[in-house]
Amino acid sequence: MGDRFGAGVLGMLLVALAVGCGDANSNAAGDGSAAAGSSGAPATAETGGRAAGGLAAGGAAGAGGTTVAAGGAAGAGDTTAGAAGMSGHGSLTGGSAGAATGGTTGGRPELGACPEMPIARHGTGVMLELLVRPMFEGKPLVFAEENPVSSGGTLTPLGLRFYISEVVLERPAAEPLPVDVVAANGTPAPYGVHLFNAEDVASGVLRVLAPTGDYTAISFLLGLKQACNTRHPDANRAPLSATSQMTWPHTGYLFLRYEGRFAPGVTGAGGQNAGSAGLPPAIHMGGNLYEALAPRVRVVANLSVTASAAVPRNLHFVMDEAFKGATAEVDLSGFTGPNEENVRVGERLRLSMPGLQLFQLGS
Amino acid sequence: MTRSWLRAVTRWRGAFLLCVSGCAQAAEQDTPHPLVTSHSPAGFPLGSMVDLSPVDNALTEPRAQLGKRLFYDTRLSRDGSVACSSCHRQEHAFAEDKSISIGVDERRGTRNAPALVNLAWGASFFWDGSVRTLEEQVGKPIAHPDEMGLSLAAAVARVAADESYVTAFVEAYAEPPSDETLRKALASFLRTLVSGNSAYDRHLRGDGSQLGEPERRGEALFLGGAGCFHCHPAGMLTDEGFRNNGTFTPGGDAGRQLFTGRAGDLGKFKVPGLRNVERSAPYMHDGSLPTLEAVVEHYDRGGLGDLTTDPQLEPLALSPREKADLVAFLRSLTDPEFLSDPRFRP
Repeated sequence: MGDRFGAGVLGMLLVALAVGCGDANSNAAGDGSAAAGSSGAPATAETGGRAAGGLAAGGAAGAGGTTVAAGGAAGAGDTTAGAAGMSGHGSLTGGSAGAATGGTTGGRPELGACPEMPIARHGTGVMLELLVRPMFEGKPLVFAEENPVSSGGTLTPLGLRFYISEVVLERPAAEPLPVDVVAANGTPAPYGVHLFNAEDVASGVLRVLAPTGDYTAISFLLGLKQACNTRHPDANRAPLSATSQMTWPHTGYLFLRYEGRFAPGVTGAGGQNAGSAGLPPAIHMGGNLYEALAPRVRVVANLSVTASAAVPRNLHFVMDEAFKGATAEVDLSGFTGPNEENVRVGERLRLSMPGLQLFQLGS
Repeated sequence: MTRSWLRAVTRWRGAFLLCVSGCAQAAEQDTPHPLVTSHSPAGFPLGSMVDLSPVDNALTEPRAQLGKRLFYDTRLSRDGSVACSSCHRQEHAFAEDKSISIGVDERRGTRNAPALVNLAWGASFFWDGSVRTLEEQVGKPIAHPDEMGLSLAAAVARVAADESYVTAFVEAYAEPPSDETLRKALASFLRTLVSGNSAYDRHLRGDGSQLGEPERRGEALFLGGAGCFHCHPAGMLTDEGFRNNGTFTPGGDAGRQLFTGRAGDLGKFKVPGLRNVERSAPYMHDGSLPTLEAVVEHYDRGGLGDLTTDPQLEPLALSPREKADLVAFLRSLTDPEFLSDPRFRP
């Protein structure tokens, strides 16, 4: 793979992502309108592949500035291999069009492209590094350690993994721009997928290769497009092999997996595995082979990619929001995934996502 | 005269063929059975033992054969009493039937010897996952005072004093024995220990006759309601993760926490693959469960109940028949060919 893509990528500019951090929030609403819909509009996203989704679904930033909206379908654009993808502009369809390449056909999975070695869209570009940081109650969530809970007790995360793929940058008055998820050496990541694993420090850096320019939002699938979701783990290398710990007897990949232990304070109630109100012991989102259900997450923030010193940005994963979604009252009557409580909890999170700010872009 | 000449030729030809056959047999006995193959069993993850070997220790037959010789050599222990094979016996899936291994001077270790099966696909090694490569792993038991008790430098010196070893090292690595090449050779042999022909494997390959009704019911439970698949996904039957599976009790072996120092890793141990599990008793990191039935009972209870137990482990309330079915399925993972494969013998 390195030889195949190396030449083009070696020429890339390892230059800066200069970011207007200070005014990102205030600018976001206005700037976001061009590509992403009306400024300040409520999120209209739908979750899951049943509805055509796309970049427009999330709306733009509200008063909170750097915001997240989620929704849309996995099929928001087959942006991996193929000649059409080479331009970097062709295949992604924002708004309501929703080219559902990852959708379903007659209830059966559509086996679209999920090449192990995606073809690079952009021969050159800037390495944009996003440092994925789980947060809880406004503080970094320390993996495998006891994190104090404000209401008492401690939370010890024992596992936290999720996939990020199909990354798109939005820019004013132009088509949204699909970009490649890349490895540290700039070559496209296998299957175009990044697996964040809280136990693996190296996985905490999400890298994409972006042309220089000013962007108003970043969006991505929190999970896999259907063409990847239906690939069998035994036929895959990392990060889609069984050692990803995102697979089972293949019912489709988990898109997000969390397990943790809540220990009540000395005067608290609850106990092992029971969690506490709002702190479920496990969340398994995904695990459905037959529907394209990976939600598209959209983070509105000004990103100015220029050719100067590289400045990584923090991409916060807000556990509070994950717990909020996982415990929300939602209608699960249409749920067709594995009949496991942890997966049903994950489905609550998925269905709740349009109202959550699961990811936030920090400085 | 012509007829007599023909008879003579025939006799000579017979003698010649006899010689050729006999010589071939002798040569066959002298030539080691090849260990290295470039294909992997159907249903295994991508990559063969060759593909998965590291760039700086590409798997070759001379390296694997050298590693096998070292694996069975008691000279790698301080007093010459213990070899790798002492605690990793082929008939026990390269584990042993003791709860805790006994090293030099009858010293007791602290953990059960793990089975050595399909390690080429492994992501980390030892019960606590404290090493990431086989090349690193193999040196630890040699030097450990409770196991083989010999420094690697001393081990290299002993090997280097044997001219036949020196020849084998030069053939394998184009250099005399060293700490590095000794470890690389042992790792090479371990990568060849591939087991993929159990009834379950043949079942995975589409032979519907391999599993009986109890095994099929057990498989359904394993991959379904009993939740075993969470840590032992179909295929390699390990997700290479670390779990506190309810065997930890306060004051006991802290497991992965001893390596990472993290509170959440208390009592976590590596999830082992399960091929040939029937033959690798006793079970768990401490060998505390003597039988497969005891293992199923352990998980049916939800473990020993310590608060550190993995949140996914909950009581199962299995019926007696379901427990028996699970055990039947686990027995279908036995690969007799692997357990008696002459290629792995000294």
